[in-house]
Amino acid sequence: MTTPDIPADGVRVDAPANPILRLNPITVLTVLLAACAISLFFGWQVTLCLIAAYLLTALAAGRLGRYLSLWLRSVVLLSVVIFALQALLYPGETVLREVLFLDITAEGVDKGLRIATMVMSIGSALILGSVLIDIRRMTRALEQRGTSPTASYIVLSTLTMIPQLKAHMATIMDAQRARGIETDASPLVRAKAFLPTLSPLILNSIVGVEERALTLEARGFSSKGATTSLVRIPDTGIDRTLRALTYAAIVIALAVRIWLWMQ
Amino acid sequence: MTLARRVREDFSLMAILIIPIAIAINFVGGSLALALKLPLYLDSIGTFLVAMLAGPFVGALTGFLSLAFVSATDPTTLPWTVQAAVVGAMVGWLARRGLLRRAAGVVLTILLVILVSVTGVVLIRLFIFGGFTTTGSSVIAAVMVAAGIPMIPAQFASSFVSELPDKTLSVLLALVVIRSMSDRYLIKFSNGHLFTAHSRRARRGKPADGPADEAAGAGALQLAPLDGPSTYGSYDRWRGTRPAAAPATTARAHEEARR
Amino acid sequence: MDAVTIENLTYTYPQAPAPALRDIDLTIGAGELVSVVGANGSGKSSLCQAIRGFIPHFYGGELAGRVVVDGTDVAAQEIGDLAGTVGFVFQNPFTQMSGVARTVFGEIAFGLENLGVAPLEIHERVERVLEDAGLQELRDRDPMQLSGGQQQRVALASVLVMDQPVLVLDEPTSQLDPASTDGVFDLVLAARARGRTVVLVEHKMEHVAEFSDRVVVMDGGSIALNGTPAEVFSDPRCEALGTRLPESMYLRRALEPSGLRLSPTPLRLEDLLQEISSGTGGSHPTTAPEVH
Repeated sequence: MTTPDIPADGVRVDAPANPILRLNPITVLTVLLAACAISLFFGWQVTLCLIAAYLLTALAAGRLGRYLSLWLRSVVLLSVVIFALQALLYPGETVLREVLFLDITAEGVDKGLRIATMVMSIGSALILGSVLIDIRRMTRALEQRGTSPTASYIVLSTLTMIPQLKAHMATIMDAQRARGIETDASPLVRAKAFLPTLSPLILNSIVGVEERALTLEARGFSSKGATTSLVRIPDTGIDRTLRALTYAAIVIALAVRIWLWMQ
Repeated sequence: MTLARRVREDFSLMAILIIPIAIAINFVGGSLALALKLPLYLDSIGTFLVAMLAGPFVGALTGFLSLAFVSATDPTTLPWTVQAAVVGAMVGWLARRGLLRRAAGVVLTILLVILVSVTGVVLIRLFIFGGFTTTGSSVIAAVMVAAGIPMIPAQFASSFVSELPDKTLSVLLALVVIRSMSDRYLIKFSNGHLFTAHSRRARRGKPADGPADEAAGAGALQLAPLDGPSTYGSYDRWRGTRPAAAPATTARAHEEARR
Repeated sequence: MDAVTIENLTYTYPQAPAPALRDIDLTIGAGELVSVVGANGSGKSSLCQAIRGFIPHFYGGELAGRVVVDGTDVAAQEIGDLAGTVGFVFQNPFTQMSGVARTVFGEIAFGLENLGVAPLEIHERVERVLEDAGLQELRDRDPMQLSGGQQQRVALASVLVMDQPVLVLDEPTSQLDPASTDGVFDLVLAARARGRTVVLVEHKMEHVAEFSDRVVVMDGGSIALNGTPAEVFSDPRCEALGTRLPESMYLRRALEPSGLRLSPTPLRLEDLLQEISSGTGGSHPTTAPEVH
């Protein structure tokens, strides 16, 4: 929200109220990637503990609902399916139980567990990342660290274009529906009805690119020299401490793993 | 031309601006296919379009970013970013070779795209996910394996069934869109000159029209005089635009267009 | 120093059969408002592009001659560095939204951020433009959700805030309703009052006639007429070139047979009616004072 109260140097500090959401997105990413790696070093027990931590973090950030909704539908579903299918279909020898015409084998259960754990480890961490990190904050934070403004532009523009194009398509689809394309006729009929709408939509959006290129040039997008920003993502002492702890944790986890492996 | 130079030329402002549109097209195509319950993905039309126009590097980045955006809400799709990048790069490379100018080349491209996509799907599914995921074609594979068909043939068959119509349609649709783009627009992209009506006429051996081509012929044989018209290449925000740099570049560009 | 000097400019788009601009010679003094008119395809947009450097840096093609803007040779500059010298506004409101700003405030600030202006100064300048352009109520709105007229005002504001010495406007009001059109013209005139040089391509002849210091008529890629509005619009060749004339000219022509002697100026309809009524001694309803 832009208000007439301008901070002293003209730069607004983007710091949400919640302490977890206030963290620099790079910190959050660092911590979560480290968590992925660490959970991959060890077995499902560590993964389970980490997932509990993720759930608590999501709760503390006020994002538990969104986390569960995304997590259950993608990561958990996939893990369950993988586990079940591997258990049932893997050609192992030690049959534990028979289900209809399929055998649940110990090797299958083992493999299923292994892969499911891997998916849960990485997936759960990344979903936490997607609910905690705002992409715009992330691109700003990266730009502050020195990534090119062009990269930021691509990401931010995509975020704008996807809903734009979807709305555009919805309008065209409504027009088609009014003209009577059935959504439950044969796939061929449906395909033949929708294909002609896709090409002009694509063309229209592409033709606008030239003018937008001119617009960006008119606003100095290609000008050499430093850019300034009206918004700053803070990188506080807490961020730096967290990152330091994370690096330490990776080293320790690696050491423990190697030590265990040598037993 | 060095690799770095080639990459920078591919990434003109036009190419950079078309990437978000291409990603959005991928998303719209994907959700459209879902909404209409078609047995297709249709989530690579944008990638192919950009790859054909701006080359393999831009194509690879578009494919990668497209899947990266999808994995923002579904991290289990992260491995597919690599596949999308590889397919995008390949289409871009084939387009740059001029393969897409002939019908036989288009068919070859489609076959290669299907082959690489299927291989990628099978490899990723097998080595990362152990063979089964939640996608429709994976379910088919599971059913086949349960019925007794060995794993690898089942995987190839099931993904082939879904990739064949999808990739064929996507490549063709991308080509249709490019065909309807004006020459003036096409030349703003690094590969664009391959698809212009102008170059199509030239390839068929028909006399090219007008003074523009005569000037092109003259430019190829001698350096343009310093106080004559300076010819500027297609828009490239990285290239310096001093007139002295132009004649050699134009001569090359005209040669390429004539090939 | 003149703001814009064009010498012997001839330009052909890539793969075009004929030049879009032929042998253009034009000088625009600092602070002038020059309107460029002409039939479609006469090269008005190309002229604008050449002043801003989009020709040749964006479009490629063959260019002969020189374009010098604010002392710098356009061909020798990078396209990005000209952004601080020449402002550019064109017709389509939607494609002039950058697509990365979430508020109108951010949209307007975008150009200044790219130029590396200090944040405090950005705030100051954006606030001033918001005020001048009457965009205060829109400052927190999403630029992509605005109406065409609002977007065009935002686009214009986003360029005006960059304070370039030369402003090029290519049919900025063609997609707007009359109210928005007046708003745009107010902004352009305010910029001119602050000393900016303005090159304006327009079809709304009444506005052109009233506000321009000079009018340039283009035909087939070359400059056909160049002079003050009065000179150009009274020239019989003007209409032959496919340009619509301001209303007052048509009235003038209709009154010719009556033998009424009128000076070539004024061009505003009200002023013309004033002159007629004072000349014939009769009072005209729109110009007569209230006293009866």
